[in-house]
Amino acid sequence: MSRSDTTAGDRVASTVVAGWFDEHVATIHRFAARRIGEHGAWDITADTFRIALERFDEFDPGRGHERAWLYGIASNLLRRHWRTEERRLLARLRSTTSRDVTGDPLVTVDARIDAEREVNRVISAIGGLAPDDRELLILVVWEQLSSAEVAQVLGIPAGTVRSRLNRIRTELRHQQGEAE
Amino acid sequence: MNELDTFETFRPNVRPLSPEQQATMRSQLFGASDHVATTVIDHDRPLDLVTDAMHSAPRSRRSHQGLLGVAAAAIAITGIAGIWAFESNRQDRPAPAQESSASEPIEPTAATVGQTLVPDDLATLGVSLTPAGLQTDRQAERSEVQRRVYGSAADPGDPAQMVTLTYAADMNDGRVPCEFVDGASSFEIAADTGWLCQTGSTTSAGWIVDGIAVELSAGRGVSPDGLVAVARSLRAVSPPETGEGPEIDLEPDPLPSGWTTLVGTDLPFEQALLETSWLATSDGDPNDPQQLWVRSWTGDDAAVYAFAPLESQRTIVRGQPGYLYQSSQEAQNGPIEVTVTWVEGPGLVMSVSLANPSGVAADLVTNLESWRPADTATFPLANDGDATPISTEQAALIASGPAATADGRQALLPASFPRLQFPTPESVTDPVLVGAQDYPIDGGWFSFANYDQQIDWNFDGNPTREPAFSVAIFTGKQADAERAICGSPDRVVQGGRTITILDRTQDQWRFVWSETSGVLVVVDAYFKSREEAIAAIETLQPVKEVVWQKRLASIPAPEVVTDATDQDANWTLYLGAANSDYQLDPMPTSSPETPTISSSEKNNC
Repeated sequence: MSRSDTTAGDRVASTVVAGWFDEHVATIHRFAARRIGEHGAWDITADTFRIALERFDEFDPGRGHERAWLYGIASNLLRRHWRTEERRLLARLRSTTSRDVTGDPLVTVDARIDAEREVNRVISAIGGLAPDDRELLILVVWEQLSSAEVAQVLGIPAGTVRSRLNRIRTELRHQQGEAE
Repeated sequence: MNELDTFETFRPNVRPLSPEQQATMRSQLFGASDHVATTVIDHDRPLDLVTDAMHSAPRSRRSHQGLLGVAAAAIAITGIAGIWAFESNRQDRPAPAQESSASEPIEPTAATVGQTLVPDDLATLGVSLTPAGLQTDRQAERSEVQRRVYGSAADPGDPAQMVTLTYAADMNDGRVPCEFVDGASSFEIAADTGWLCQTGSTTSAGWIVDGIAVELSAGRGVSPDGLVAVARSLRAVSPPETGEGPEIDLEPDPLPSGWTTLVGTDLPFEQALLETSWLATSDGDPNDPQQLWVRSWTGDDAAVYAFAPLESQRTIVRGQPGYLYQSSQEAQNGPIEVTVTWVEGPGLVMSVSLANPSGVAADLVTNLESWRPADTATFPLANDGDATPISTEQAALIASGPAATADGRQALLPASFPRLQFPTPESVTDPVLVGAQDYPIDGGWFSFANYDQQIDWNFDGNPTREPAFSVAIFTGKQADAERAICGSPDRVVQGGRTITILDRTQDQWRFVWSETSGVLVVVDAYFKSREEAIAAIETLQPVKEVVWQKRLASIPAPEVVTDATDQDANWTLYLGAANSDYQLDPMPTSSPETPTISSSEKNNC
């Protein structure tokens, strides 16, 4: 490969990834911020696009949309922040419980108690999930990705995404059942 | 509201990047790119200068191997420019936080960064480092929590008798841990009310101190009364460090008799901690879910990580006391994750996690015995196919032991990896594999995973409903690995098969049998009772792939399979229906023998 070819390739990569940045930076930042907070999300977002630029030649449009590829890069970067994510998630779950469930005066006392109990069961169950399963759950529920997109992000078959999601749901249901 | 809907309500609302912040980031990423690339071409900047400066930036294997030369330099410098720009603009970030650890005494030295040791050829290990190689991270994140660990004075290393204390500045919304958990009980503490609850094998206690929610968690060997006694011994004092941490500190005054402090110092908000990690997967793809993740911690606060979860078991790792944690959640053939934690040497805590261990979890500790220390700087080079062969002097230095580097940054590499080679599609020679594909079936689906065949289906066409059956067929090494789980004495002999039954959860049973030599069938059945599950299993009949396909094609008028006994079939799927209520034509069934328990069977299946 000649030097001029390389330069042209880099310019193409830079142009394309810059376009992706314009289209997806808000999504990737939101994804990271939900998981580890706004402070860490800045680095994750920037690193995601920097790596996309570095590894542009590895992107295969035939395997899916670039959004899922970017999600995959971000997910991998987020793995190093699992402690922060776990703490934030649990803190978020707890604060949501007291603030959002019990704070609505229009909800009857009984309903509030029932809702709070259900939320507590979910909190306990989600807290017990393996990190990989939590990630899949977040991609499906919070990010609203399709099975195919999640499959691309996690590098697993789409059918496995669905069966894992079913297993997670079963696990959550069982853990809630045990809590009851 | 189902559990997914409930989880969705927890989705945090985050503040989006402002247009100015987006523009700043864009400029750092792409604005500098053209300029730097041009500079490289004009001045032909040597690559070694780039790599020296890149010591703190992750690099991809592909870029290292395939983009050597000017292209790599251009891209690398782009990264550097970005990183330098980020560093110089950190004060402009939306939420500047604890970055002051740059002055900590564990700052990496230039001499360490410049080392060029190369480990042995990683290709012999059966795994590949992911592109980033060894990551080094001086903890820049806030710890967010204060944590201490107490243990039994008689047996300090027993995780079942440990108590962890956790509290955080932002857990001050007035919510008491455990307060609303079903079955929680109350206790008096400091003229207030605390709450006790049980989660799995862990007992927890929660209460409020000066508006901050405090939580204690204890292993199964700690009684509720013992946990309450520890809780009541804690007193609020002024914290040694201020800032964004909690405004109180909790110290035992003193601990009750029989207890000892294992980790007494806080994990401060500005951590004096260095974390290194490396990742290996079967093919070097960091997105591969089957991952070996090795981390090490050094520094004053590393001791906090020396203790695995309370649910872990003690073990001896490389001659040192350690802990083996297996996740309670299980995949088809064992725990989803196994983590081994131990103190390798003074100030060096190691943790090795294996995700999707595929039946080799039990061998991980044994395998660790043969790992050897390697220096931080060797990893990027080890990941390069053009790496210079290791010299005698370098080999001797690597073999000299864990205390090789000035700042304590080191990790362990496996010297051999005989049992931890991840199965890949290519490693399975069974001719029936058709790759990863999804097929809709009668209201459900089945998919062929990478190295086994898994079929899930239910009967009402709702893809979010759990399957009634999950059938996996394992061949080759996977079948051998699966057989390791066949330790249950609960067996039935049915239809010529000796079937091991494993109780899973309250409505799930696992049935395992060897259909033919080298083929192991594992069926998870979800039914209300064990008897119903056994009855459902009786309906499972082998069908050839072609029959299965015909059956799929025949929807909504499924063809009744009648040639399931065709001996030309070189592989089979198992398909059946529990009963006619499921609107699936039942498979023709033979006359199964009456299930009988055969406890005299040898302990294998």
